[in-house]
Amino acid sequence: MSELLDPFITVENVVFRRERRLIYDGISAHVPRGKITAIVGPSGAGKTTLLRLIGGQLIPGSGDIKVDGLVVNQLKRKQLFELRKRMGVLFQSGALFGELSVFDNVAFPLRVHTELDDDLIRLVVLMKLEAVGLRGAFDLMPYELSGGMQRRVALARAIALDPEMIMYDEPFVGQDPIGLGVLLALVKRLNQALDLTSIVVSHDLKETLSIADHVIMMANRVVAFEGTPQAMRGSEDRLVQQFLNGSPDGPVSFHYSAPPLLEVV
Amino acid sequence: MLGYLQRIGLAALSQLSNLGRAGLILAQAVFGRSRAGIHWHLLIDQVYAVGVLSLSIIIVSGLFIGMVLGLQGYTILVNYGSEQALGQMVALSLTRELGPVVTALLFAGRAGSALTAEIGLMKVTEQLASLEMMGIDPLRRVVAPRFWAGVISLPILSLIFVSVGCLGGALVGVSWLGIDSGSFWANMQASVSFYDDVVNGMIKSVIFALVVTWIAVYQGFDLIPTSEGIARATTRTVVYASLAILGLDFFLTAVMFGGI
Amino acid sequence: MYSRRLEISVGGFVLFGALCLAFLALEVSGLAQTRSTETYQISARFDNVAGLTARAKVSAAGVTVGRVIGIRYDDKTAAALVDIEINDQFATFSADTSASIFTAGLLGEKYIGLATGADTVFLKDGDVIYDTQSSIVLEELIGKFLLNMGSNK
Repeated sequence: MSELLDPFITVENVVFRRERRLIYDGISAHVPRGKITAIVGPSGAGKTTLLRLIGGQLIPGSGDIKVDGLVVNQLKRKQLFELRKRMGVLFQSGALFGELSVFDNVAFPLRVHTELDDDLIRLVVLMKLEAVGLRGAFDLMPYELSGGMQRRVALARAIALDPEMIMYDEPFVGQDPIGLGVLLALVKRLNQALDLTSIVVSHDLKETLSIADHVIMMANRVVAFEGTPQAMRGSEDRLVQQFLNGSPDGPVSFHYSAPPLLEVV
Repeated sequence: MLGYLQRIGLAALSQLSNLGRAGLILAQAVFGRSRAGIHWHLLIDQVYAVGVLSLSIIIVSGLFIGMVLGLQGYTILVNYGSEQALGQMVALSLTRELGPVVTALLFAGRAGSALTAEIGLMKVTEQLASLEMMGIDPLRRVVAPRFWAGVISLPILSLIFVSVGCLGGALVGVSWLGIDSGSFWANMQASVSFYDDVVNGMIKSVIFALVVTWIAVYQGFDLIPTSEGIARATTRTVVYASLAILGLDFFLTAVMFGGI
Repeated sequence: MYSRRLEISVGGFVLFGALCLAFLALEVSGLAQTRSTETYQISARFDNVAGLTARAKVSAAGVTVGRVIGIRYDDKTAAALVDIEINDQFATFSADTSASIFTAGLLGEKYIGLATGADTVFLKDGDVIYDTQSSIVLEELIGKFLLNMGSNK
């Protein structure tokens, strides 16, 4: 566990509520620097919420989230925006700007945040597109691409500013086996080539674990497991086993939390 | 009984918090400082989208409303032998009322709903969140240019609507029904005052523009991010904006022309 | 992103708006003709101004020379005082000018007609016209007419 000596992100005792519903009941976790961390767990366990908390789009009720030593939930607006330039996010839907071409989408953060001239921007954009294997598609519009390609373009956009970390929100959802393989390889390759800290949120357990160095499993409002994939597979914990084996019954209940039926009736 | 009271209180509080959020969004979009100053090309893009693209519907509606006013006015005025006053009637109804109000209603339906749907779609497809995560404030980047474009475009559209309407009235009155062109225009010029009628009409139009665009961008920005949420918010934009226009129009007319 | 055609069309749109404003100013509201630069103010005392409103036009020999800017009730004389604004270019109304309230057409709006007199002294700012003819009140007219009908029988 030497990797935890150098955590890039530290989550400490975070409690978070949405409306009146408790999402996190005091969670703590670490994301090691330069590694691929998988955040797994059943749907609705608040995996995406954790990404939003790290990105500062949501503020925890209590507890702290530190990214590279900075407490995200206490940053001023301007500092937060500076920090976000060091983060790349790949959203579930890709979130490409529909009215801009592939090239302009990738060039967008460069045009807004840098003073580079057009030739240099062109060079950088084509390099990033090359990295995701879509340099030939630079003049297409997003709606002309398949879902997997859209995600790869979004990935090129997310790494346009050479961030130190990148967060993937459900990158493998709805992919055919080939597209999935391409994305998996890409995540792995980018992590090594750019020395990124990567966080992959997913419930595709097998695929995600195959590339992850570190796993955080969320369930029932707490961190159910944290450690290496090997340790996870060897865990005796019933919750972890239920999730790994996909059994319908176990500590993760089939029912959405509610008062007992007799009390309501 | 207390339950009802509680529900009324709850509804009032939620409305109030909606209004507060809408105000915050507006304030941040309009007055928040931007590092790069005003994004001129974004503004121009939006003026094109909400202004230029609304031009055809405004011109056609203006022409027909002017022509209908001409026909209807003529059949009434001819009973009193004062059909020369047709120009006056057409021009006054257009500059004071129909111009600003109908333009704003059409604008709410054409551009307002599009604004809501566009911003809503950007929210649903996580484009707004993605902007935020790129360190770009979506209020400044997405909402502010759309807001200003609306405020600039609607008064211009209103001017065009009134002008085309007056020409439409003249077309029917002079070319078709045979009113003397000199007396038609002279009557119009004698009774329409630039400051009291045209300028007041424009003031109305600017106020409608502020309100309609505000409602549209707020509904888009604050909707529930599903496709159903977009549909509902778009409907709400048109309904709320139309009600706001008509209500405000009564109030403004009372202040401007009602002698209060 | 930066499309010339788009910019040109927006420019055209704004220009079109400006042209419409000019059209409304010149053709519809006749701003050029009635542009009042300098004015002077006089008053006229009427027994009855029923139907006259502020902004009604004031004409002499059928030409618009000014506007009514206000109507007051004068306690001392129990009459109406109408404040009139006259364009400076029409500076030769004699001191004994008379003012009458007319109606434009049968159902038209009321306006004031001025008829200049023979005096060689001209009206100036602040002067009052006393030689006036009040507005015709339709009810009174009908009343008189009915009375006459009755007495003829």
